[in-house]
Amino acid sequence: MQADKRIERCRGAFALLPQTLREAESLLPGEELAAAEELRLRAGQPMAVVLPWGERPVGRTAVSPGDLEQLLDNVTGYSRYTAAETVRQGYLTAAGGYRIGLCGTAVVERGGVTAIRDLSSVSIRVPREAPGLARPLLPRLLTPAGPCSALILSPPGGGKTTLLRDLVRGLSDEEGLRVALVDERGEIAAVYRGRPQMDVGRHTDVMDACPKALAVPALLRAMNPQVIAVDEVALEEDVAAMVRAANAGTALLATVHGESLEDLARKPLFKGMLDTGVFTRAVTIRREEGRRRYQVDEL
Amino acid sequence: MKALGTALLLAAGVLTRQTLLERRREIIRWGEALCRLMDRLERGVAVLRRPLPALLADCREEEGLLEAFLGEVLDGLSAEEPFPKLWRRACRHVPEGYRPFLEPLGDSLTDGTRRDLMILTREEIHRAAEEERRLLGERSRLITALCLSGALLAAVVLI
Repeated sequence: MQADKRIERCRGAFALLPQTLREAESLLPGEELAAAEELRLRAGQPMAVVLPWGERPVGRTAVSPGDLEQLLDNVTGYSRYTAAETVRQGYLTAAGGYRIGLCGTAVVERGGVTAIRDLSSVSIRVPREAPGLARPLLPRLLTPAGPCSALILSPPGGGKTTLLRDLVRGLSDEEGLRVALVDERGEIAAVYRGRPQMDVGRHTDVMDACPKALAVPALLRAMNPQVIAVDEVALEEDVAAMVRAANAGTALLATVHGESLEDLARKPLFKGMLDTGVFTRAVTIRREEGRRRYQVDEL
Repeated sequence: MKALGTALLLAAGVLTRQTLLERRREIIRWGEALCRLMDRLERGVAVLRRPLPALLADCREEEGLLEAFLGEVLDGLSAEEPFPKLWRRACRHVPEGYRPFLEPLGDSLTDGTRRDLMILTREEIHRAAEEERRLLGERSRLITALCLSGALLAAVVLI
């Protein structure tokens, strides 16, 4: 069943492509359709599929710059301006939760990127959900007084976002908590025209494409959350906003890059964050024998 | 019979006059409809950020004169054609005098970054329509005189 769902998701990614490239789907066997993580399109080269074991070309037809422009038009419904804010940051979200990365010539004005023109490459990430992934962890993150503030850490590509998404869903659906989700890069809820394309729970409010330092206080003021979840804390102002939220009595869930708590404590920003005492749990994701293991520590 | 013939020739003259003037008036109406389209596109794209196909579909419903033009654009969008090409092709349904103003929009409408171009296009179309209106005023007298005198001359010669 899971494999069928993954194949369906991969087919959805192919459906975003211009007609001239869609037929490449038939060149992938079922196991590759189920395992595909991304489609990569680079001008002048055949399209490629990213699999857990590496990237390989699909077909021989070279992708043209016109194909990339048509892809962008397909995804935005010929209305690129509706996604202008995220396109400036190099990505957009398509219906179904597909996160599309854009690379091209940046148009820079007054020190900031205002647009990307002349696309040279595009990546389409095949969304993955893992419902139930966080279920064994939830009891460790809840106390009689309510949810704990927890950090989720792993190296890049370790599965933090997937775990965070299911933790948010679990706290929202299974515990009935009001969760406010700051989805700065559109990777967790994958909001498309106002609707989360991924399951983040019935009691979850999503602030999409907003910097964390701005979104956290806004959500505190407006949505009365019991939990605020953020992905990839990396800036001082993010930490400051979260500490203020914690002082207001809201529990926090946050992901950070790190191999381990010791590794985190060596980085000044995160050492400061740990020293605030706001976070009382840490979930470390490790790969052991090809599988992910989740270790929960009390802080 | 002579009187009938004269009357018919005069009627033909009046009809010719009406046809010629109506053509000019239609060009003016086209200009007005295109200005309204530009206003809605500017507001819809630059301010409200509404998806372009929905905007164009609404305009098509409300502006009968633009049916063929916008219909071709919408058909092209459904067929996933590159926008600049399909916009230029659809412009062939627009009176020739307005095409040079409208065609360049095809390169930037989907980006929505050239609000200045939408405003300029509207101004240019409006100016062209006003010029047509001015010429219509001047020419209507000339056309009337030519058509009626032509009809009378034909009546005198033939009858």
